[in-house]
Amino acid sequence: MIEGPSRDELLQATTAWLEDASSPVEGFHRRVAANALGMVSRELAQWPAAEAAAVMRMQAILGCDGDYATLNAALAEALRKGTVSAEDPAVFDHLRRAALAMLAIDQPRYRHELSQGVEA
Amino acid sequence: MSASASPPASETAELVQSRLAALAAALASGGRQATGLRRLTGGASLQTWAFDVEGDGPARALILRRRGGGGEAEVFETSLPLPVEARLLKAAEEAGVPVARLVRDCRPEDGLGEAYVVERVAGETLGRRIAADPAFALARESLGRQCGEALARIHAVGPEALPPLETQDARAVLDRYADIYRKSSGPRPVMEAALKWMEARLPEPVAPRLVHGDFRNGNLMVDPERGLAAVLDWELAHLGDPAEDLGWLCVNSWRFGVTHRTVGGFADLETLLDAYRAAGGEPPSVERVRFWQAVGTFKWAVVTMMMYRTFATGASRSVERAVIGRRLSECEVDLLALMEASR
Repeated sequence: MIEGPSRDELLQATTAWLEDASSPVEGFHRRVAANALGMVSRELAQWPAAEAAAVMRMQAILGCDGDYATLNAALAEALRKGTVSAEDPAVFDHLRRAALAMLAIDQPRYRHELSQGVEA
Repeated sequence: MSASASPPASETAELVQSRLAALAAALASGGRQATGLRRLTGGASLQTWAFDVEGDGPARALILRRRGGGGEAEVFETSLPLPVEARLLKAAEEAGVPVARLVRDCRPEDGLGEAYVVERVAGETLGRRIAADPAFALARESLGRQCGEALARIHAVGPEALPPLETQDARAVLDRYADIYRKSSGPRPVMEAALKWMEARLPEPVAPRLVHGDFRNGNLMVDPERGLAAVLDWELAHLGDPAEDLGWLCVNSWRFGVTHRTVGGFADLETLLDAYRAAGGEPPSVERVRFWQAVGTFKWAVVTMMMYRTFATGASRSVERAVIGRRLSECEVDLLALMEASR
């Protein structure tokens, strides 16, 4: 789940930075602010579909209903207790898709070694 | 960050300047004056200053490391006291590890507080340049081998040469970071799955050796032609499993986009392990390195959470501190990649 910082926090921090006349103006800080806004816009565009797909997968894994936050917390708890295992291909597939969906929003240019998995 | 009770920056600089001037004779043969003083890092309580001492020969380029009076809380871990770090530098140098040579372990009468002075080593520390810049192509050819040699020598330092250090085995490190994660984040399925994966692969304990604790691309001073010039940042050194250093060096975050080069974005694991063996080390299994790579990735995930917490709690309002929380996604993808590779 996208937890911290939420998109509201990103918008508030960036707005405060823009409004503060004493903000440092070097390119670095401007790029950080632009990066924060990029995360917000990608989240608005991509997260609704990714969240809905994640809810469907978690319902199938856990065999119960609920919204994303409830199911995600339940899945974490089940993994911790060992009632669900990441060695189960369906579970791993869900973790992979959820993690890649978040990476596409947060750091789309990050290079890594996780495969894209088999298209469902 | 909070200003707390530290004196203003200009006052600190004046104090450091006058103390170093008084020390000049002890820092270089015929040393008369300390010049060109400038602060290299700010913010945290640990200060790094660059300066030169003019004496008989050419000016001597030096670095002062000093604990400021501010007492700002460190974000992640307690770092070693500087006198302990100074003793470590000495031990590492004697063991043949490339380090900045210790010039003075400061005494109370030096008036600089907890501090030491080392030679200033020329080179580059920016990980991205070292991994990808064409100017470092030549250095990259030898860097993996040099890191293997340096690590073998660090891990071979005998206990009699060492100051007292904390022992941290795999179980202790894992428990510590699992605990911080549970206190600083909501439940996260990937983090839970990674903990289970690591617990199932907890390696057999080994006799504790000196572990650098932060040996990675970014803490290595690199010369464009000669490669490794100095191993920096010894403040997280401890006793533990030598494979911890090898795994940390392979964490994807320190490959700076050159992901196919497992070791710091500049070498293959085989090159590192071969050089480690050739320098007299007993290389750990690839599985053991992978285990510690996962621990390192988990650790970095927890650090991003803690850095974000400084924003969430209002201690910092910087956009940078906020967005770092979104680097957790990178760590989770890297943890899954390690789990996937072991299936």
